[in-house]
Amino acid sequence: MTRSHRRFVAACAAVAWIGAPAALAACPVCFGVEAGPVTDGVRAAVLVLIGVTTGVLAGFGVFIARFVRRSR
Amino acid sequence: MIPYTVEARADTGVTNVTLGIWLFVASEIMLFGALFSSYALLRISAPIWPHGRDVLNLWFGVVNTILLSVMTAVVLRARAMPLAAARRMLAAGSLLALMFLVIKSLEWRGEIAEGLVPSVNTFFATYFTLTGLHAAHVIGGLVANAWALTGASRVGEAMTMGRVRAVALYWAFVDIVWLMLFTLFYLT
Repeated sequence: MTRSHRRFVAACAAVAWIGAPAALAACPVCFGVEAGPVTDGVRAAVLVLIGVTTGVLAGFGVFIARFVRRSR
Repeated sequence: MIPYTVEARADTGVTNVTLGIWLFVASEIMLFGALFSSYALLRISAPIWPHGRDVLNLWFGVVNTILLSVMTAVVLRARAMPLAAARRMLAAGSLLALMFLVIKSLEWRGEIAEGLVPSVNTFFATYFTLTGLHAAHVIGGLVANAWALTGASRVGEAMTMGRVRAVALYWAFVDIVWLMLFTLFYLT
């Protein structure tokens, strides 16, 4: 990704964040709900799933980086 | 068709078997990850959650943890051994895994006899689901061990050692999952 591409993506994210913050609040069910055991549970479940997915994707990333290194 | 190679490929740096088993383990991590995520949701949102050591047999869990850890160490060690010794180690590891299953089934039998079935509460529902899926993976590992052991005379040393390395990686994954299950269900 070139520098101009990165700038474009960052600008789009900033516009979305400022112009339509409600659209970025992804979950209309949980958003604004008072904290309780169920919301704590959902938060923990999401964090576990994000952690697992990030770990697996990082593994793939390392493997792809290894391919790139070997191809040189 | 992907050729069956016994040497590491120049492009990937590993054998096709190793690459395949890594991809399989990645998919298994996602499967267990989804279940651990559900476990986190159910446990944290539950108003009451029993202590595992109060309702489960801790000693069965401890013995099974030792068995599976020794089993994994034995199979990992087999990777660096000559074929005959590696086969003996794999057979010994299979025996330990079989003992794990026997103890696990005795434990389940005792729990079911006491009326502690999945419908009792969420704790037992998640316990039977996760340990049951794990036991299914142990059975799958035993089948893979048998495949590596019985095929040795047919496919030769290089290919068999590739299979031994693949099953060793799989058993390391199965052991790590068990350690997590033991910690979550028996110790906390």
